[in-house]
Amino acid sequence: MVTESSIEQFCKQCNRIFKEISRDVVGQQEVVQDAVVAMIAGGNILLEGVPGVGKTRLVRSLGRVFNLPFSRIQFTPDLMPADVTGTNIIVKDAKGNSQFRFQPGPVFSNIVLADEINRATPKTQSALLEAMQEHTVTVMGVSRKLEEPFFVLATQNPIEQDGTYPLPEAQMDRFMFKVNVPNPSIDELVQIVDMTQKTMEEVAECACTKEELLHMRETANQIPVAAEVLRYTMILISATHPDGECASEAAKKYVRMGASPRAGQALISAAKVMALIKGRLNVAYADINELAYPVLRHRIKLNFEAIAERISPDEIIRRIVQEVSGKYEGKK
Amino acid sequence: MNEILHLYKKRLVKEAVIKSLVCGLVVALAALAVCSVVFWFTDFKHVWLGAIVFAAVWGGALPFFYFVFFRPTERQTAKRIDKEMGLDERMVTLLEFKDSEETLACAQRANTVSILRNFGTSGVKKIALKVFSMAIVVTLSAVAALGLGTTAVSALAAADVLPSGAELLRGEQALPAEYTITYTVDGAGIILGLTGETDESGVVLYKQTVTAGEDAKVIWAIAGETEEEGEYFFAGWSDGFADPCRTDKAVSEDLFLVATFLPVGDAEFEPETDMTNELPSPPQGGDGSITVPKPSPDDNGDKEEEGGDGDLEGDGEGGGGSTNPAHQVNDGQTDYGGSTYENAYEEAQQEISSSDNIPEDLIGIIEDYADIIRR
Repeated sequence: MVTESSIEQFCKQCNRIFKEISRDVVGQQEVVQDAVVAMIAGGNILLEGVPGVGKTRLVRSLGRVFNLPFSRIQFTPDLMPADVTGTNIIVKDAKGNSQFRFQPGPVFSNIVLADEINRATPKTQSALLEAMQEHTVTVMGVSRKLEEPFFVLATQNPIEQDGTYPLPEAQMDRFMFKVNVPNPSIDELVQIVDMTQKTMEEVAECACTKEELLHMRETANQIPVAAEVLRYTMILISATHPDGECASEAAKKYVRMGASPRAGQALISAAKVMALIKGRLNVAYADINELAYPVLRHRIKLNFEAIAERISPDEIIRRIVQEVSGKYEGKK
Repeated sequence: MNEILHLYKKRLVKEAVIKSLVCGLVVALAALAVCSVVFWFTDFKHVWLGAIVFAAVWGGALPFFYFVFFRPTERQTAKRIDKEMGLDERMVTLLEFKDSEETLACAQRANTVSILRNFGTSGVKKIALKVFSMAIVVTLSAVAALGLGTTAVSALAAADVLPSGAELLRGEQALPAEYTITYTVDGAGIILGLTGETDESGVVLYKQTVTAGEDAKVIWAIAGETEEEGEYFFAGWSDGFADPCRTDKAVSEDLFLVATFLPVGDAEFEPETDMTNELPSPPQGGDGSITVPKPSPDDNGDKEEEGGDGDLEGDGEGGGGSTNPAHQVNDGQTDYGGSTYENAYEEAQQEISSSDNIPEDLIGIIEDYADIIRR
């Protein structure tokens, strides 16, 4: 039951969460914010960054802060789906009769860190599909529900592409956000090195229980969204399609395939959380525009021209947002 | 909440009324321009009716623009508040969920109203009145210039200061003015270069029509003879000009000129000094008079010397500049060099026909003159 105190509680908990994470992760405020927003909204996150920028540490900190069971799967080419989902094993009961018993895989956790997810074969990668979308796992014809809240936080290295299997569109679309983890600034580096010389221990404490997180999600879901804002969001999604009704010039020129309707759902869910984090009780155009980058950057497929001209997805999104907001402002 | 919204709406109503006034003014000025053009073309004198049309159109356009285009709705008011006051779509959301009893919708309403209350009444002033865009300024200026300009033209045409459109269409004012120069003779003589017409009283009038500001054709006053008085000589024009050949320059009025011919050997002729146009003064004697000598054998000798070059063209021009009446005597005895230049007429004809520089009217005069001499 959402009450007025829920809103107050939400804001307090958000502040606590950010404060605790900052004890383990130096800088990267935008990355942390996006990760927290996605977690409260119930989405999966794909973290992309070069090795050593703190991706895994961030995921571990999130597990600690939310006090959620955390499991890590290091994806390698020889990893099998059963290694992820678990499998049936033969066990003997007290009477000595053999029978199958399901041995849950590491996916049966609240937070799953899929480290270097693009190193596993597509078969193994697809083992996560059901878990990410339906929060269920089916083994040997038996579906088992995962415990809520459930998140997959995957990481991948954008540089080293040898021996990797790029994630298929279907799997990409199941990540709410793709967050680019940048290299730390000089000041942040100084702080990181200084901190880790003393101890590598992670000190973040629990700031939010499982139940509180679910309540925060419920609160955020009730944030009212004006029809105008909803329509604007859908126009923005449609504008990413080169042959869509509202196709933007940038999409026509550089995009091969636009974002799916799932992107619209993700954008609105995330915008509700973002509005609450900012202390606002309604979704604004600004929230949509800000979150368009993490929501859309992995959902639009660039064409040859964009690759040849080295136009980044973020640049295309910037142009689309600019065009759509300009047109929409004109209509208003 | 409604009170606050009403406060802001009043501001937008004010803006809408001003915008309606401006747009109505544009339409009214356009209507005034159309009316003025119609009045001008139809030569309609009651230009004040344009003012009534202007007022009527403005009055009618004001409510039309307000109710059809500019009247602010609640949604527009909410959007405007959000945009101008940086409320991040709070007002639009509030309006959409104003009847919702959801906890967060209620909280959102309370939050928005509280923010608006914090702005107070001065917050209303934050909404700038946007009336004049570049397009409206340009349109208003153009239509104002057109409306007022055509009205001024129409009014001036009604006051007969300017020609009306109807007059211009008929071409009455389009043609430049023309003036008539009438020549007549006093005594025995003719005007060469023009065809004479005898009026009711028996006077021969030579007329030519000249466009205002243009030069008249060259004409020539040629003395004749009567049985009673014998030969005549040219004594001068009524305007004091003494040269028998004249070309009136830059004609700007109707002229009536009399070429006076006196019998040879008559008394002194006093030309009139009242000049009616700006023509060069004729060569005169020291006292301003022209003495007409009687023809004598000496004159014949002089004539031979003066016309000795046998050049008819040069002779003609020289004759035009001369006031010696002896040059105009046709008594059948005076030798004008015919014995020496028997073929002068034929030669002159050839020269005239081969020359491109002599104007047509001058050729006519020379031929007439030479024909008279030959006869």
